[in-house]
Amino acid sequence: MDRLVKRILPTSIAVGTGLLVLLGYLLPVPPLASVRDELIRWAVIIAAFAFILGFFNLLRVHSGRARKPGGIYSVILILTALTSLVLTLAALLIPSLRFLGDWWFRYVLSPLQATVAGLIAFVLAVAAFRLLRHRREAGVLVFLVAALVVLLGTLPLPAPAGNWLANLRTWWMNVPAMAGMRGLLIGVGLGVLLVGLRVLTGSDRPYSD
Amino acid sequence: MIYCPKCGTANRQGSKFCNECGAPLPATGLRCPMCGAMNPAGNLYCDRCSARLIPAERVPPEEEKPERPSPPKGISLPSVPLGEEEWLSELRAEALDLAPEEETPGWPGELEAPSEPPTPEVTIPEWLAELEVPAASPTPEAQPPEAAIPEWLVELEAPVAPPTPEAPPPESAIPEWLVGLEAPAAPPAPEAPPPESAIPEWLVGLEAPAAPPAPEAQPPEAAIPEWLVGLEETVPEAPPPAEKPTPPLAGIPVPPSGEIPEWLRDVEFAPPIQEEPSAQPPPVAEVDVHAGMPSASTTVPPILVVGEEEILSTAPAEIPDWLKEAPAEAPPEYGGLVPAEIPEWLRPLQPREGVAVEEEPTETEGFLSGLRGLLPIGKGLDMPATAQPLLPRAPRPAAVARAELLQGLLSRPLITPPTAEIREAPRQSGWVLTRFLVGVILLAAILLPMLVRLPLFGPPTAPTAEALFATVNHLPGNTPVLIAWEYGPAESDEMDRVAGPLIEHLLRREARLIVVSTRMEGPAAAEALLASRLVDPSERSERIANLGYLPGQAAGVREALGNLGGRTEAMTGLPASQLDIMADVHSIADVGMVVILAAQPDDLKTWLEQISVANPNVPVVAGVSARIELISTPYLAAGQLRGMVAGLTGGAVYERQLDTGWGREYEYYLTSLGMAQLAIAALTVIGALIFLVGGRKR
Repeated sequence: MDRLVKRILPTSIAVGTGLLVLLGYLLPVPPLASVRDELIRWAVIIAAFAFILGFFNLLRVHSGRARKPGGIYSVILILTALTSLVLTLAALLIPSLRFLGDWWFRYVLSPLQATVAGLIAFVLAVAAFRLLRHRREAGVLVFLVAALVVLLGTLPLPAPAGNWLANLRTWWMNVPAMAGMRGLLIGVGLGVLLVGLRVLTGSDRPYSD
Repeated sequence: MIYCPKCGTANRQGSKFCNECGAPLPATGLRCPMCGAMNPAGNLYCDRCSARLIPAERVPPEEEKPERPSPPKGISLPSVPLGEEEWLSELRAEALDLAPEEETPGWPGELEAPSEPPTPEVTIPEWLAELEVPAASPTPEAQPPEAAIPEWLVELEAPVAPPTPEAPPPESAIPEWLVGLEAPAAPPAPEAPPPESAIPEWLVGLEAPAAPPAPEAQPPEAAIPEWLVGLEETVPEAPPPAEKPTPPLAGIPVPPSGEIPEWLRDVEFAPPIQEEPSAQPPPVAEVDVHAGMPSASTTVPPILVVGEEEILSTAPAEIPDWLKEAPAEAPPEYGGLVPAEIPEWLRPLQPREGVAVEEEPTETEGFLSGLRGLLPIGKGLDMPATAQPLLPRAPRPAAVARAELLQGLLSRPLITPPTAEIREAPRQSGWVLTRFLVGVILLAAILLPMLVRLPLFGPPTAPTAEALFATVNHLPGNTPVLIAWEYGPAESDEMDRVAGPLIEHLLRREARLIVVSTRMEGPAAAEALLASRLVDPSERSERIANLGYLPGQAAGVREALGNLGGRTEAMTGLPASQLDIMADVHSIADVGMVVILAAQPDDLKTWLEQISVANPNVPVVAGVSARIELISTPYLAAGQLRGMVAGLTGGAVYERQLDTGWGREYEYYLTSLGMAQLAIAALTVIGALIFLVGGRKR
C-alpha cells in the first residue's frame, strides 16, 4: 500500500499526464488539445497553490530561527513578508488602499532590491582587483583579458581607440563568445530533452521520494 | 566392481551408493574397530592407526573354502545388527565362505527328529517359526546385561522360546547365557526320522544325513568335538551330584571372567567341523536346541552371512556325558555372562599383560595441560622458527634524508602559534582597505558625472536597436501587443531605460498593450513605468491592460497564451473580456506583436519557446539587459527575434531615435556607466600588476 501511494500512483499520474500533454502538442487535434490545455491549467493552479505553501513554509522556518542568536534577520524577514501580504491583500480588497501597496513597492522594495543588485557591481570590482591574488593560470589570464575587452568595448570611447575597441568587442562577442553560448544552449536543450524523456518514462521521479 | 543389489549396475570399487539408482551399496572395505577408518579389503592392519583389523586366530585354510551356499528361504535369522563393525560382517561373510555347501548343518535335522511327528501341512516347525521373529518371546529369566554380551551373542540369545513345562530348569541353576541353549520342548527323539515330505524344501539341504537316535548311550570320547574339549576339562572341577537329576547343561562351568569357552570361539570363527555323522547319534533328547541357538550336541555353527541375512549353520556333533549330567546347581557367580568378557578372538587387540605399556605423553602446559594422548608435534615443528638474518644493506639516500628531516623537526623547539587575533588583524585590515578603496573609486566614478559634465564618450551605437525601432515603426495602429514584463525592482534601473523608449514608441503607434509577467513583482514594476510614459493617464484603460502575474512558469505562459481573454486585469480587478482593448483578443493568435522585456536568460528562453509553439508567425522583439545580451544574440540571428534592444546603450540609441526628451538622463547614465566601467578596468589592471609583481598569496 505504501509503495502504491508513494511510488506507483505518482509515477502513473506523472507519466500519463506528460504523455497526454506531449500528444496534445504533437497532434493538436481537438480532443487532445483540449485535454492538454486542461491539464496545463491544473498545473498552473497547483503551482499557485505551491506558492502559498512556500510562503507559509518560509514563515515557519524563520519563526524557528528567530529564537536563535542572530535571529533578528529572520524577524525582519517575517515582518516584511507579512507587511507585503497585508498590503497586497488590502489593495485587492479595498481599491482605495491601493496607494499603500504602491508606496510599499516604490519606496521599500524597489530601493532594497536595487541596492542589493548594485552591490554586485562592487563585489565584482573587488574580485577583479584580486583576480591574480590566488591564481595565475592561463584560464584566469584569458578571462581577465576578455573582461577588459568587453568592459572597454561597450564604452562609446572616442575614435580611433573607441572604434578599435568596439570592433574588437564585436568580434569577440560574435565569434568566440557566440560559439560558447551556442554550445551552451545546445547542451541545455539536450539536457531538457533528456530530463523530459526520463520523467516520461518514469526513470526520474522528482515528485516522489 | 560393486554390483548394485537393486539394479545390478556395476559401480566403482569403494562406492557407497549406486551411480544409477542411488541405492546404498554393500560396504566392501574393512572398518577399523579402533578409529573407524575404512580400509581396503585385505588389509590386516589399519592404515590410519595400525590397529589389527582381523583377529589373529581367524585364518581359515584355503583348501577348505566351499562355495557359498544359498540361504534357505523362509528363515529369517537375526541379521547383522545395526552398527556392527564391518570387519565383523566381513568375518561373518568369510566364515560363510568357509562353510561347505555339501555339509548340511545337522542341527535343524536333529531338531526335527525329536519333535513330534511332523505333518505334511506344516512346513516350518514351531521352533523355526519362532526363529523368524527374533526376541518375539523373551525368556522369563533374567537376561544378562546388554553391555556385557557381545552383540552376536545377544542375537543368538534373543529368540528364546519359553522353557518346556516337562523339564523346566531351575532358574538359578542355569546360567542365563545358556538359557538359550536349552531345548524348548526337549521331546524324546523318535525312533524313526520324520518322513522326507515333512521336511520343507529349504530344509532338505540342511537336514542331517542321518537323524541321530535318542541319546541312550554316552558319546565316546573321541566323538567330542574340539570346541567342547575346553568345557570338558572344566567338568571335573564341578562334578554334578549323581543322585540329583539336573537339567542338561545346567552344570556347564562358565569360564572365568575374561575368558570364553572354546566352543564359543568356534561359534564365531571356526569353520564347521568336517566330520561324518557319527554312528552314535548325539543325545538330541537331552540337548536344548533353543531358538536357533546351536545345541551342545551339534557342531557349533559358524555364522553365515549372506547379504544382509545371517544364518547359523550347524554340524552334527555329540554331547558329552558331562553335559548330560550337568550340576544341579550352578555357581551363583555364573548366573550370567560376566560383564566385560572379551572373546578370545578379541584378545590380540587387548593390551598385553606383562608388557610395559607405553605411557601416553601428558600435556603439561598450555590450555591442553592434563590431557593425554595428544598427537605429538610433527618433526620440525617443535623447533621455533628462526628468522633468516638480513643481509647488511646500505640504506637508501632518500630514506636517510627523510629520517634526518624527521629528526630535525623533532629536535626543533616548539613554536607557539600566533593567536587568531594577531594573525587575523593584518589580513582583516588589508581586506577592509582594499574594499574601501574599491568602493571609493566606484563611487567617485559614478558621482563625478553628476557634478561635472565630462565629454569623454561619443554617441553610442546599437544596430539591433535601430532594427527594432524600424520594426515597431511599421506596426499598424491599434495593434494588440503582448508585453512579457520579466523584470523587477532589482533590475528596474537598467531595464526601465531599455523598456521606456520601446513602450513609449508603442504608445505612440497607438498599440494596445497587454502586460503579463511570470515574476510576482513584474506587474507592479510595469505599472510604475507605464504610468510614467503615459501622456494622458485617463487613456490608460483604453491603451493598457495589466493582466498580472502568471504562476507556473512555462505552464503559466502556455496557459496564458491560449487564454488571454480569460484572465483578470490586475489593477482594476475586472475580467479581461470586459475590457475594450481586449474585446478582440482571446489568445496569442489575436496578438500583432510580442515584446519580451527580460533581465534573466531563463525568462527570455521560456517565452520564446512557448510563443514559437503557440503562434510561430507572430513577430517577437525583446528588450534585454546587458547581462543577457550575449545569450539573446543567437535567437536574433536565428530569426526568432525580429529585433532587440540590449542594455543601457541600446536604450540610449532607441531613445535618441525616438527623441522623447529623455536624452539628458540617458547621457548621465551612460557617462556614469562608462566611468564605472573604466574604474573597474583600471582596478583589474592595477590588481593584476600588484599581485603579479608582489607574488601570490597563499
